[in-house]
Amino acid sequence: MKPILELTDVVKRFPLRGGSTVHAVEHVSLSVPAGRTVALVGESGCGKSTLANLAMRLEQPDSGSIVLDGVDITHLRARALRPHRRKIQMVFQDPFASLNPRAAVGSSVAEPLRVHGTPGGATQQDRVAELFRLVGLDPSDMAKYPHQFSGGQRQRICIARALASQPSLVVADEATSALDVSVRARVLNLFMELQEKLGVAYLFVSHDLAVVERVAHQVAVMRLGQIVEFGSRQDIFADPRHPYTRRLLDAVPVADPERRRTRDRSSEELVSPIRPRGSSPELVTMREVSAGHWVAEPTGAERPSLADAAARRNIE
Amino acid sequence: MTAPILTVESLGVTFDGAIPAVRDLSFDLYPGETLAVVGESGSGKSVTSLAIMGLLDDAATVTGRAVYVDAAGSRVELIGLGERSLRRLRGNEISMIFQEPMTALNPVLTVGEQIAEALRLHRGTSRRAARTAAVEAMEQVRIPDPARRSQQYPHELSGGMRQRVMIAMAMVCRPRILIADEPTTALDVTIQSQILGLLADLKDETGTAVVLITHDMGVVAEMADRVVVMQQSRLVEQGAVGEIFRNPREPYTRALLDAVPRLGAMTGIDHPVPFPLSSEDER
Repeated sequence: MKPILELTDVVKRFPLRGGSTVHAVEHVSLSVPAGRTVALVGESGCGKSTLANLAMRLEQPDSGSIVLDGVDITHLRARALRPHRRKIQMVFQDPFASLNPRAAVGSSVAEPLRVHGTPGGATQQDRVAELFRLVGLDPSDMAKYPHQFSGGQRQRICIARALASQPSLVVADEATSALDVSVRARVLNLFMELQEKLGVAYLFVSHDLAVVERVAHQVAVMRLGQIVEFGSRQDIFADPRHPYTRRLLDAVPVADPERRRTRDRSSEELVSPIRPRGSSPELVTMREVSAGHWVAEPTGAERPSLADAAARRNIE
Repeated sequence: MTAPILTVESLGVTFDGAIPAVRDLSFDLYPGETLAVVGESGSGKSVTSLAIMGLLDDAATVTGRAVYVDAAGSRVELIGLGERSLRRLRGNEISMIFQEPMTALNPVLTVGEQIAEALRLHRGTSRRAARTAAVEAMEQVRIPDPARRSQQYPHELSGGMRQRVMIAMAMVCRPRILIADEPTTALDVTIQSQILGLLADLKDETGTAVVLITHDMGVVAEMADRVVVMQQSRLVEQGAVGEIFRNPREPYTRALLDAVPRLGAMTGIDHPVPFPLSSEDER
């Protein structure tokens, strides 16, 4: 399947005062096939949001390339980038923070139309009404303001806005994490319906593995700025190979009291992506264990500690 | 069955005469059990715990009863109890941990001092003895290198370690009831797993009864003996955890469970599958 987005060997580091560096994204390659959902999972500080921002060109990579729908956009300047931006849109975690509180929501949804034009020669008004219906909102609410909506409705407004320019890819960064459970399920269903209807692809950034298992075709597991495992949803959830993927999966509380797992008694901390000057992280090498299922070879640093963790769990 | 350690009866909370935050809520808490209070935002679960602890301000009108059976076996009515008596109980016989440890810890005191403070206040323990006990309490919550860590300030610790410090503070006086309000919601999943494991171990070691307030049905399934389900300020359903999950009686409980993604539910399917939700309108 033709990829809509291809990241190749992308690196992003942020210098800190005092000479140390955040190695946010280290030589990551990832591609999102058209019309599919690729989920990017990992814990705080693993670089998943930075990678999403790089794909959007909201951050400039230090090296590597970003190819969107066959066009290398890595070094395009603002004006040259604009026509390509139409194809890639974003939905963020907090819908209230991403809507202008003083603008009627209809106007916010129309913003991409003002920038990129209205597709198919429809009037702006008609197109916004169509988008409202598409995400399950009543077009008569167009003149209302963000504070007059619930959290779930606000996220629907953000989704309508993201879809206004008919993008081929939507980057959703923790787009349902702030929502209550029943609302979250409805918004996730909306994402899936829209993909079915419009053929839009998603780069779905999330820390919630149970949600990812629902929505994704493929899953990339990130740790310390690098992808440690990549594969189909089945590969990752039914046959996880990397110790970190297993640890993540083991940690998810399962909503079934008959399947209580042995609990994690360790006090192991998350490792920081910040490194002192002159020290750079060991790069993982990926090995294809079955068709399309890639796993990082354990690096020197993690071999002993992960073996410890495994041993500890076995004893218990 | 043994007698409840806490009996909440017809609890009601109203803020400035507005729509009630909690209405006619009744439940029992038994010694040594974990009772999960579960619900979505605004269901009244946190207000319930604050009302029981006497932590709501003057804008709140609390009605009903919350009878606590203290260590000496006498019945104490918590609603309307004077501040002096409440202080004797809080952090001593009944203690509480919150979602965000950074806002609950004092940034200018070392964590060791803060843990020791509870002992000095409630037990009159000497400064030196309290300091030693604080290090022991940190060891009990599996903080590595507790002696050194006790000298550190909250900002020097990670989120997971701060939550361990909060738990150490809450547990140092061996409370008979621990109210944990979303204790792992702000934490990463691997750290959440550790903290839940720790809470379960401490409960087993000390026999403390735990009221666990959460929105996460996964956490409920993993931790609770019994469950109270709340929706829009009311109790919807209560029962044993297995019963609630296997055989929910109320449509709301069923809807809540249907909306929870369950890891492993998609085995053998390789494409996304929508949640099986009823067509009921979104709030």
